[in-house]
Amino acid sequence: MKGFAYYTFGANTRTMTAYRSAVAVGIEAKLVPNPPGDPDCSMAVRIPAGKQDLAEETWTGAEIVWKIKVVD
Amino acid sequence: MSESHYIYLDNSATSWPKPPAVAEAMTRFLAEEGGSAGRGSHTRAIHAAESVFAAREAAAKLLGVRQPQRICLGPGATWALNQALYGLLKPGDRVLACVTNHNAVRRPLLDLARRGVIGLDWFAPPDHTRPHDPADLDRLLGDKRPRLLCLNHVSNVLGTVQPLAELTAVAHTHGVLVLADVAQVSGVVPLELEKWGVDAAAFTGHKGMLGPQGTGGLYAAEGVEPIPLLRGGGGTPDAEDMPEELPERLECGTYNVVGLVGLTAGIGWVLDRGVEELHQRKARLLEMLLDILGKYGARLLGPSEVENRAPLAAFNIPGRDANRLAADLEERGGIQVRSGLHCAPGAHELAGTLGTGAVRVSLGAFNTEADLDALDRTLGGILA
Repeated sequence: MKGFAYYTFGANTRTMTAYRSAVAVGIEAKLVPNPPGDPDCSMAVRIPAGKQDLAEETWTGAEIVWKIKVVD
Repeated sequence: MSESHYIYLDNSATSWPKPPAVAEAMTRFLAEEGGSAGRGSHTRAIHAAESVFAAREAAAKLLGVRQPQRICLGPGATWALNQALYGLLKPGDRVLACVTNHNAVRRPLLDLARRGVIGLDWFAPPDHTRPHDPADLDRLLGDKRPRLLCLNHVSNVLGTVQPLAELTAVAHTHGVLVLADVAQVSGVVPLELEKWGVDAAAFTGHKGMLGPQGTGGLYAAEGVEPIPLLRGGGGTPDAEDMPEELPERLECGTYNVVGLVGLTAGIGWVLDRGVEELHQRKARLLEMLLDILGKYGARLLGPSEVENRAPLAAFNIPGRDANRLAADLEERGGIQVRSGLHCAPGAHELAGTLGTGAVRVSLGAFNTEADLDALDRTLGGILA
């Protein structure tokens, strides 16, 4: 799958935790401004779209719940 | 005399000097970054958020906490203790608190008790030279039946390192929550707060962690969810209250990011060298300090041995006023120590020095034998 998936988590610490855990399992994650559609002023985690399953599995294990997901 | 020529022996008040990396990190942040964490989605704000998280991670590592999100950052241990006490206690709760607690614990508790919110009982170690006896605590907890036990890991006056893990285990057999003040020990002795089962702990960044003043925080274990002391910006903007989850629940307003990058650098310096290694080095200096004080007939507050003592020593010289002696040490030898009651009247009452106060010498990561030689010479000159 091409493009990127964006996840927001509702709070910066949760976002940072998710970002770190994604990087820890080898995902090329990046912290970016929120994607359109999320009114929060907090940031988002961007990952390659092909890594969504791995990322979501990682975050579920760490009890991190994403609030919205946008795929480019 | 310029500030750099003084010999600083007041590290229990605040540590000085700091590792050069602390000022470098803070200067770099002010000069090149300067963003506000959680306020905007641009790169500068994201960098600031990363800096806040780095401080959280560093503090968690030093305190022996696996989840950085259980570290709530704030301006210091006083904030953290107030946040914990006002945020956890409910009308009708009872609290058992150690008499050696700092005023940052004592005054909020007295306020809550005066207003009839809580019932308050005090406990003490057998005497000022000994740690708490777990068996005594066990009996007392059974008798008083508090909801919260409030104690310090090290008193800023007596220096006794309390067996926090053992005392926490005793409290838990009675279903009692444990709030620990670790301001004097974080970065000074190895901590494993999560492993020890401590429910909440207040730390400050500007003492053993070697960070700047205005930093610190509250560790709250899983399941410990205080009500916010303050409310304001942070989290989801359209919500009517602070976020439900820690740490953002307790962190409103603009973060002290410049302070936190300094704190991260200070903790990094401590972790690079090892808390235990630094403690052993200070313990050797403490041994030398106790020998010097013994030579001049000082009456020591707290344990007489180095073992299980943090690197501080409060004392009196019979016949000498504590405040005068501290002033003389600075005037004649450039030696900076703290005298008085050290914001802990209960500890002084236990030691029998409530009416006189005491002189406190507290060692830091950068003190040397030469500093203590100078103390020895100056004391000798004053007392001759």
